[in-house]
Amino acid sequence: MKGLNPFSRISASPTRPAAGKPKEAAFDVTSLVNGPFGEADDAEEGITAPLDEKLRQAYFWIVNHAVISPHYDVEYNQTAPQPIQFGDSQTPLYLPTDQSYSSFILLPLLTFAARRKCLFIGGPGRGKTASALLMGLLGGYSPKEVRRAMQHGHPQMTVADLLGNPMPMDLMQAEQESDIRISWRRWLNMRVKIVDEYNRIPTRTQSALLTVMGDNYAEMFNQIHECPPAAWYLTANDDQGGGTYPVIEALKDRIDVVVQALPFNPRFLDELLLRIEEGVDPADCLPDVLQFSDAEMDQMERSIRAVTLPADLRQRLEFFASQFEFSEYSGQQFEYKSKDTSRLAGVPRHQLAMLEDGRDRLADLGCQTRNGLSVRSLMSLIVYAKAMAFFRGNSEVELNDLTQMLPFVLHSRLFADADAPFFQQPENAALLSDKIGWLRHLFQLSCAEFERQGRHRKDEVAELKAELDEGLEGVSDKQCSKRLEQIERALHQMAAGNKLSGAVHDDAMTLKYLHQRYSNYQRWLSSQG
Amino acid sequence: MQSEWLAHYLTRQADPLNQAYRLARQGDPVQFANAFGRFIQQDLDSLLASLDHWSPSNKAALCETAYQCGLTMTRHSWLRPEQQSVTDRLFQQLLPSWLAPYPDAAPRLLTQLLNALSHLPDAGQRTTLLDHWQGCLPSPDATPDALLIFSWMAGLPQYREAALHALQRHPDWLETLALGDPQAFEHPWWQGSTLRWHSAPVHLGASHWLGGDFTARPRLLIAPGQTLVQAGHERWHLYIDAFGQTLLPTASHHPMLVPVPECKRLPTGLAPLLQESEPPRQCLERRHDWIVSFHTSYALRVIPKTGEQP
Repeated sequence: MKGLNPFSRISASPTRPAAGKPKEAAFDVTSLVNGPFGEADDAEEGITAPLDEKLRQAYFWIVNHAVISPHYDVEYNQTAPQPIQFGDSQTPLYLPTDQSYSSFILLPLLTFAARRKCLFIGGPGRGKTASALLMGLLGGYSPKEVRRAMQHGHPQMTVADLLGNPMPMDLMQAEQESDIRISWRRWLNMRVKIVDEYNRIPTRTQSALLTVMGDNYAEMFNQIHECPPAAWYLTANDDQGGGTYPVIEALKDRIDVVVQALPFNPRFLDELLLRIEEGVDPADCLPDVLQFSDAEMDQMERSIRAVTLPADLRQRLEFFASQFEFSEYSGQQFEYKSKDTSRLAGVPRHQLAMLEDGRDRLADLGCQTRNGLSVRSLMSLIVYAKAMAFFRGNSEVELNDLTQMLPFVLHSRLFADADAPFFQQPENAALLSDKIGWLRHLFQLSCAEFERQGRHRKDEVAELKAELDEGLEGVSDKQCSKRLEQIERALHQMAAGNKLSGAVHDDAMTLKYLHQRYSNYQRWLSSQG
Repeated sequence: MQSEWLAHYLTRQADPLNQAYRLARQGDPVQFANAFGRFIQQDLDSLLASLDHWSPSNKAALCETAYQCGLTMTRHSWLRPEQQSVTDRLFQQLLPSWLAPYPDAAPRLLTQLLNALSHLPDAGQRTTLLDHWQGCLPSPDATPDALLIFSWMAGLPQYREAALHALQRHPDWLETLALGDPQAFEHPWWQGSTLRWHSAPVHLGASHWLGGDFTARPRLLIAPGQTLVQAGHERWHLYIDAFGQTLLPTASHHPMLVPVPECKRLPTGLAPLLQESEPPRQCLERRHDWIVSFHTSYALRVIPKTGEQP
């Protein structure tokens, strides 16, 4: 029956009025005939909200009707928020001055929009599976379809359970492997894929899952099944290996964001009571207008990729990423001075730490982590920052988009070194267990250092690199020599003026790369006579 | 029940109807059930009984919309004793006669009328609108104009200009409502040939600590055709006439917007009308009204300058 479901109503007013757009009370007859009783039928027809608006409508529908989540941990501010201090620890509570969001809903939604991979972690019964189910509904599937297609990890799960079975008749009659037809499981064709309790899946089946997640195809008996691009949702009660089987590292690295299900606030028990008494499951009530078609999902992904990342933000991100991989005493050669070198060699971290007497281990951000950032994690971070900007109706990423997305992307990728002096400070001890807070703090420290070094005003390495990026065609021998001279001078200045840190190491490596490109080109020019 | 068709319909559609009810319910469950039950038995039943000659599909469409509207009305307290008489009148008297000739358009018309009524906060204003409505019973084509005109006359002065334009298209309503010469409505304090001039001063826009809008001292601003009030960083557009008075938030930036200068005493013409001890802060004379704002109350006082005054 049309119109009988109050959950199906979507507000006609914009979910996020453009920044600075005034409240206007000018005459508009539609404002008179629209109201709490809904819109007249003819007014409903033909209305198509922009995709970012539709995405926000979906967010607010989920927050208001489906998932009881009063946590607004992704904070945005127009003006500095006033902190209210609580307890002996003087923990500040900030009241955001701009529209802020609940990560538990927002991140899955951005995953849906950008078609990436999201892991829900948290104790049982905190809404992880329910949240994933809602994302399936947004993809245009019915609750039954989504529930049936959900893969539930268990210790006996085989590759056939996950991917499909060979036709029994073909198994008997086939003369070669390619004659065996496979009955592929239906979930492989869905645009939203959900794997519940993925850390209970046996290792061999995890490898098959890795192929589907990473390369978007499934393989059995030499048969290939190509899967459509999809948003992935995985759930786990524990991210620290508490499942039945350890999760293979490559599979973990394929996950773009990790979202933690925050505890239920008992003040909202009345809403649970109502649902129990009335037998209501909001998942059954998602309005049709909030479902995204194939074409809309394609368009949304394209729009997200089209959001620009300004150069000054990119530089901040470069500076942040350069802090962590460097380890001065892990290698003799400049290129091998990385944490990965010592990890591969099995050298304990504390042995290297004892050698490091030159740098301030408290101030150096690289000392807070056990590892560096992978390329995949940086790509995920950029995609999610763009998705966040898209969600907020912007065409350009803002610094706060990066600040807010970074902790969720790096949650299971950048690991804190509990022995680091930073964590020995009493005020920082809580950051060892609060990964989101620590990562956000880490990025803010990095930005402060970036500004202290004046890199936002002048960055010689970036300028030299930009010069090369313009191309070598037409560059004369004389210009080449001049640039080589500049590079060498910059390297000498760097060596004289700074301690060797991650950022300096990366800058030096970049200059070496530029030096190689120019010197090779110069040699080629000389050979041409 | 008076309507046998409604009884069958409720039985047949019990599951979705009950589900809709459960999802919409809020507040005290017993009160909600009583109020909504009464709406079904008295208002909806009466409406459907009077439209019994309609085809079942038309009745089902209207019933579906009215059921949902009933739930919304219950949530918005339209079925409480102080509002109940208006709702009863609407469903038992007005809708049966108004909707009867338009079975296909009925759900849309019902929604439009209820939405327009929802903009009028008190029962008195809704009664005024229903009085005018019952006098004219507009056709579906004329409904948007009727909504504009009657909402304006019931207390939404922001629609005044558009409503006056719409009124020119319906000279028959001028006669039905005994409004007299439409040209006379150029004067904002004219209420028609029956009620004639509105002359009582109007207060509006209290300070924040008195429950009003102004968080800081209000200042009057003026531009051609506009009167604005500024308090802190916020601005309101003042809409005022004999039928209603309101301040609506705005960010209007008229190029000729200028503040009204402070003043120490009232103009001579106003002195007999204001015998209070509060000194005026600003005094603005518009063509048809005097507007004064005060230091202590942070409120505006608008004194009608009616056509009968010298």
